[in-house]
Amino acid sequence: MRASPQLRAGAIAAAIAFAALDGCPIESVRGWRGAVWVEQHWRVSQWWAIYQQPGGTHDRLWIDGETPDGTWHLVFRAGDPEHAEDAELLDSARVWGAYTPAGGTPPQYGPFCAWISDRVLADHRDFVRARVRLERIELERGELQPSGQFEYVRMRGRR
Amino acid sequence: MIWKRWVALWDHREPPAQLALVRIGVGAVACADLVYARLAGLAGVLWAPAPAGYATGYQPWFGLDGQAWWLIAAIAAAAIALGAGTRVACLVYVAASLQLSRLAPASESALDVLYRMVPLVLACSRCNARWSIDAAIARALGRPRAAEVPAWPRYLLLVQLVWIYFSAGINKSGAEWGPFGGFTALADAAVDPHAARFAAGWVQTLLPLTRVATALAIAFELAAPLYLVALYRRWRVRWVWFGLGVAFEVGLALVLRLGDFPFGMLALYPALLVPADLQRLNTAEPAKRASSPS
Repeated sequence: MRASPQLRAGAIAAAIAFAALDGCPIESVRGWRGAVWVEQHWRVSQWWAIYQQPGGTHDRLWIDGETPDGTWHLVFRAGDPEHAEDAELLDSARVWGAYTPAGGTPPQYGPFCAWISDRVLADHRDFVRARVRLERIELERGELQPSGQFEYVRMRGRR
Repeated sequence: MIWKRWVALWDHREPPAQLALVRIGVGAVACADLVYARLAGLAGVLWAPAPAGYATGYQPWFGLDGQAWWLIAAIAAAAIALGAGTRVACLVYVAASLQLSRLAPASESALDVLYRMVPLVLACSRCNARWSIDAAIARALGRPRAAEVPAWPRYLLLVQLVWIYFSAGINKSGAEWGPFGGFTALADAAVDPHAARFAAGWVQTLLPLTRVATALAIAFELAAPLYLVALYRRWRVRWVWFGLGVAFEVGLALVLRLGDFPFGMLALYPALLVPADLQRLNTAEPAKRASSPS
């Protein structure tokens, strides 16, 4: 047998073994140092968790602005065509990762809120403050149940 | 004995059509996604620091900013699709994608992760042996057309795709994916205000249909390894799984706003085929292809 096919087959076996450890459903196996290093530095992983729990408790983005009389005006609410300012941007799959919690505050939530608040304040000269918050909702049997309870509230005034 | 068979498996050669189709699809989807990000005004937000955007404080390589890396990624993706300097383009795309990922980790989908691995495999392959600028240049220089190329990169992509579906299946922890949750997962996803493409009114009307679709989707994912068996045995039943996969991805694209994810997955589907499935495309000589019976 030629040397190069043997080397290649060996390298592929090693790569598949590495990927199998990295993608192992058992967390303690998946968390071994080599896989974590690769994931942190090269941002790749073989653990695919896609739409694990589409039902149950989720969040819904609300953005509103406050006028000097203390009244809040809703400018955007996810999935609400009557309050859809900047929806083309905010509804994009590349943006909703910034405001969708997955076991804690999304990593870029703070900078996202600052950015969208400044944008809202720039577009509405009558607003003195902008507010970004997430309403807890329940998705069950194909129905959305609002709770009226909010979390991750961020407010920002004019600078 | 097992080792010899393992080595022989990865030493196979085959016509280049599947890998060429994967290259074109992957490059086209990646390029289209980046161009869309620019046209929709996202590029200047996702990969720009405050106040223009909300990128992290990461300092990209070579002192280039996010906009420069966006341009590099878009050019590299187009070059992959066209097969121009393919190997270099694949490596450059991965490097650029890594920089964009560090600037905007929250903007990433599973496809971005996948598309940092697939081009590395393509870079090691002869995916540019057909329908590429590289192949056209080689022909102009008088080099013979490659009738066969190493099959192992396609095998790796095939295993990768099967693993993604199987891994996604076994990691689905919500009861709504199973009988105890009434198979309502897709109905729940379709009313998620962050991802739903349409107003929720239709979901209750078609709830039974979404239950069937959920059951088929989870069965499709968990059955993914069987595709390898069916492929090995040349069972025609593999077309059922293949068809379910296409329907699954097209359905996701229709109902949910998942960006380029469904299209990016479909771009890898040519790797699921065997050369005989693409016999006409794989016929090396154009004249022979023209005279073959239809």
